[in-house]
Amino acid sequence: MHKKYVIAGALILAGFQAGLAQAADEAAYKAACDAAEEARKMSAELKYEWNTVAPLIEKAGAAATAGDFGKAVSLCDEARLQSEAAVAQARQQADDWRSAVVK
Amino acid sequence: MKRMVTVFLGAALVAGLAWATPEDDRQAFVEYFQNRFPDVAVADYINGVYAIDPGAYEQWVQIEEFAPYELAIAEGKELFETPFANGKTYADCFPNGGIGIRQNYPYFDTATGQVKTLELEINECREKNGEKPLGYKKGPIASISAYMAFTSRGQVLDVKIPDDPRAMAAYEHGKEFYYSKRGQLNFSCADCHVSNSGMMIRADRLSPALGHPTHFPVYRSKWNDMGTLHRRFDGCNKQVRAVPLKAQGEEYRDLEYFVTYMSNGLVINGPGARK
Ligand code: HEC
Repeated sequence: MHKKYVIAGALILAGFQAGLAQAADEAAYKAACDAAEEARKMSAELKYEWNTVAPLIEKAGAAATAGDFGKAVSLCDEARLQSEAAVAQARQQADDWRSAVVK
Repeated sequence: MKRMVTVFLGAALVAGLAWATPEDDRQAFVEYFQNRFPDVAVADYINGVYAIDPGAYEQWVQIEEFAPYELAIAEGKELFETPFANGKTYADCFPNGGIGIRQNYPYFDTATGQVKTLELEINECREKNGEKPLGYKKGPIASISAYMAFTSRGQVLDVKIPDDPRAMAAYEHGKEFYYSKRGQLNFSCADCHVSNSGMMIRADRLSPALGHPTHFPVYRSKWNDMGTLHRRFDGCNKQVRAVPLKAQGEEYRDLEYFVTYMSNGLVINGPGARK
């Protein structure tokens, strides 16, 4: 009798914790992918978006839907890094292009 | 301090005076290719990669004999001559009835402050006459453009940059696009079509930029289809893993303005056939 309650309690607690963990993973995924999307938009505004970025974000969405938040986070991190590189490229080229002109 | 400022301003003034005009740019461009390919006559650059690749040239001449763009010319002629619902035709929208005018495009329109390309004006003509605009990269617009180019064969490209700071800004904007590295691969148009022209990239030999716009639109075997110059820009942007920009958007129109100015003096030989 007593034992049953203990087991049930443990199961509820475990479930609760798993739920918390899932919520934490989901929040990390949201944060990573929001940041990626923001960086992508900035590169697009500069007309410098790389076409490798949207597929990464799309794959991250699919991973999250399948419950693999860890994979989703790393895909969005990669998308953000690439978009940041694209923004840096835009800024650098705004200065550098003149030196490439045929003279 | 005051003297330093004066010296600085003086230097800036000299630099300003030494700024390349579009004509300086064009001459330097032509000279670059003459040095790079000393055996190629300037007039032959209208043939794209075939001008610098004798092996491929022979094959291409055979292809041109049964030109895969003939159908597009015929379709374009028919579309061009078929009246809109209101009874008007394309001929009513263009100088000289739209015949033999390809060499004057793109041009800077001082009324709107915009670079106008042939394809843009084809659609403006349609909309003015109550018709829906066409897609810009392929299909009917490529056929109409092919027909209009065909009627202009042999005419000398004569893109003008009027004495208007907005025209100069559009030219500079196109030039900036041409020389700016883009995409994950970090290549500019010039990296491939100027400084690496003639080199192989995978299965393709890179064509020289000089003469690029003379033969558009093209029938491309890889597409199995006709495509406009902006369809090609789109493809070349994707090749370096950049998101392409909008066909007939400001960037690509300004790019076309610069690229075409560089080929001034060459003759129109569009439409063309390409691999
Ligand atoms: C990574 C190399 C690369 C870059 C960068 C590149 N292209 Fe290309 N481009 C090619 C290849 C390959 C072809 C097909 C073979 C050829 O004709 O050069 C081609 C073909 C073309 C053609 C058609 C040539 C013809 O004769 O029909 C045009 C026009 C063109 N490119 C313009 C551009 C412009 C404008 C840019 C910059 C937005 C650009 N390219 C950037 C590789 C490149």
